[in-house]
Amino acid sequence: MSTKTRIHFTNVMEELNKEILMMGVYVEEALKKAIDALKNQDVNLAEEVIKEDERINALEIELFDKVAIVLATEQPVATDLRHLMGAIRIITDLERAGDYAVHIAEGAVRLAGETYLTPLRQIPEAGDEARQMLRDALTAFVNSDEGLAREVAARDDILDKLHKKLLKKMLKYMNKDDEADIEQATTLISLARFLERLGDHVTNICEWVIYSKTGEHVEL
Amino acid sequence: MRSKLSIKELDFYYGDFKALHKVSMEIEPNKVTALIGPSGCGKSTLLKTLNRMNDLVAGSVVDGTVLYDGDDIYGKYDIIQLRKKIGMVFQSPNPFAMSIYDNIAYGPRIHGIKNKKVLDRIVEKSLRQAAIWEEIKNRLKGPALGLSGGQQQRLCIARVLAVEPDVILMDEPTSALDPVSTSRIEDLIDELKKEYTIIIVTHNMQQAGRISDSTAFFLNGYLEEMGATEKIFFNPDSKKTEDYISGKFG
Repeated sequence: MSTKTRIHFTNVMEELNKEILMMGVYVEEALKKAIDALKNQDVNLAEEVIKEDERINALEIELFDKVAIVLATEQPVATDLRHLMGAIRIITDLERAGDYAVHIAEGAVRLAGETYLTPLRQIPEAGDEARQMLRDALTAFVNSDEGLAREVAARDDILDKLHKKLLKKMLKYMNKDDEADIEQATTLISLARFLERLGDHVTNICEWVIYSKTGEHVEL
Repeated sequence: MRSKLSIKELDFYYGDFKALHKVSMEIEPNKVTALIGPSGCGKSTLLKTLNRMNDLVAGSVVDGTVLYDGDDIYGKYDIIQLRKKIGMVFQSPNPFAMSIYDNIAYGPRIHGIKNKKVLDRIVEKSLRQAAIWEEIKNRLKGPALGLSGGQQQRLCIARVLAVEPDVILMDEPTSALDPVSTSRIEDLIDELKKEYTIIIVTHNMQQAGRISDSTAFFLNGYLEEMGATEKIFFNPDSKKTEDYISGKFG
């Protein structure tokens, strides 16, 4: 007599997990396009990112309402309840991560007509890492994988290091008296800062994975 | 979409007592409609008007119309045919004191099916649909009353399915069952709605939230509010509905 019950609810939870993964894919795509736009000085691609952010914002509201309906109609408890509480926080983190992709795209538009002071290296590298971290964090969420969540959060150091490295590199240009160079360096520093902040949201997601699994609030 | 049942301005009296006041509602096919409300609100009375079980109550009077697939069931409708098409599952499992097999074959036999092979097929199909076949297939000749409460209730659902109904009325079908048996019946209801229209009376509001597509809230014989279950449980129009579903009265 150990057949599974509450099949409908299980399906609803699986569906919600899929939609959160899908929202994550949209954010990943936005980030990839924003960095590509920056690298290739492609204004059209950057504007695409800005426009497509509406889809991410709409999805946040849609999933928020969906979780509320599940809470109201299914009365989940224990792990199921914590998973849904985590989901509400994670979709907010994803929406914010999407906003950072937009800020990077806006930077790409601003820098499109300029010659870069030095070939871009740290920002694309940090972008790739951030995307992989985002994907892994959401995988950890849907699989309730505490170990993976901790491992992803630890990788946030990589983003911090790349951010510091770029900062150091840019300071060189800021010591000179060229206003245009200083302006470009400042913009690049702020873009790197956006990536670092995006990484913080991924870390938040990892913390919610652990909350969902254990009920503990941790600081990663 | 055309309604499976269309209830229009239905009044119902038990003698001098008016139990339903001008109830109008549409029941959609292949959906689960939950009827909720405090004791004495009229929800079970309404359920029983839908296959004319209330005809058996002395002094009962019905006014208004109930259309089933467009035909007025209080007009010139064959009651035996009506109760075949609109079956009922009761609060307490009530298998007959006979074998599991004979419980299921009882209805089809009454409707004239004598062929053993046909009956065998009906019994197996009904028990499979009620998600109990695997548990009891090796003891079909055993007594139905030897089954657990949850199994007995699924057997009763199989007994209804055996006469090939179209609509299944359920009057608090899980109130006598433990949580696991309840979940099993709820899963079954979700499965059955693909083929049948289901109307369920439940005192368990959480159950209404979990399993129904539409919810109708009754109060003092009036239909206070009816709508999509998601709406009723998330943002109902009526303050009284909200107070009831949040347990503030009832």
